[in-house]
Amino acid sequence: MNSTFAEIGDKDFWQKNKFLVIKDIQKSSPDRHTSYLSQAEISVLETKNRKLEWLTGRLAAKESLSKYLDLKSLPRNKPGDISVLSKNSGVPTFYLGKENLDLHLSISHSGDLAVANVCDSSGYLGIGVDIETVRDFKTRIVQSFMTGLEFSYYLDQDKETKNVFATVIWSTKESVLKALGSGLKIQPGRISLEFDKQRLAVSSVRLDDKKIELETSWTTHDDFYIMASTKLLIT
Amino acid sequence: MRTPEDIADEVKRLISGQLSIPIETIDVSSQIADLTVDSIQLFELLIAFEAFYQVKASYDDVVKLNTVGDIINYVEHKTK
Repeated sequence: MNSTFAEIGDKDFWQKNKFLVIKDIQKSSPDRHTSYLSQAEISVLETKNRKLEWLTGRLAAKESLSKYLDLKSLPRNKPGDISVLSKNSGVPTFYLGKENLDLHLSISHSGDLAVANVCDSSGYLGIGVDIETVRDFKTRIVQSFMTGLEFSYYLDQDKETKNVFATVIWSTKESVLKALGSGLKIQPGRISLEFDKQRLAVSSVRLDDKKIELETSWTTHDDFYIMASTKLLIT
Repeated sequence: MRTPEDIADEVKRLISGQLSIPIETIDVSSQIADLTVDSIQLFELLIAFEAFYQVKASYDDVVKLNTVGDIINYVEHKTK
């Protein structure tokens, strides 16, 4: 199992949150991995068109849960005893048998990559994670999801880093919108990000003009993909 | 005046061009989540539709569209 997981993120926020990226599983048969699924999940898997993608997300979620439980020194269950099922809203959640675990969970896919993150619900209102591969953006698209100020930072970037920067902006906004529970119901252009210009760390996030209290961070792997995570604070 | 058949054809062609997938693999029952790889692609598709039909989509409405058929119905409604 370890060979299909590549844990990344080596400092502070990323270490504490135990992010996981799963890749390469798509090259193998989904049947090989069904031992990690509960009966309820196997029933859902049969209805899915993109079985491997769905499965990869479930494995990322369960591995993320294991890391979370280790961090809290709590006992682990066998992966097959845990179900990751979607609520009516589409937000995934953990079940141990029929008991809904009191945790926030977010899963993201991009192509054959999946990432998941977990946090407790006592300190946070929600969690959102996003993974995107870096791609060539059309200016028209970039302008559609950036504020004027973000777009001016974008224009300041070198040709090589423009696409990475645009992916960072998108991914961070997507993670914020997922943590808020709205997803794309809120146009990403309504979210504005302020950056520490040196490190491009996000220092402040607003929805329209209202500041959102959250913890957010992003990372990159070889400028090939960007991951972002946001945890919404209870204030 | 666009007929429903024209719109269905245009929508499939736009999706095919935007997502680089063969048009013959797209039908009204195709799930949008199965055609797009990630959220950026979904957003790019939305912007392409807005530009082509010169309409402003409501994001509240758009997230409820699950199939290609739903998009066709939505475009028919928005371009009336």
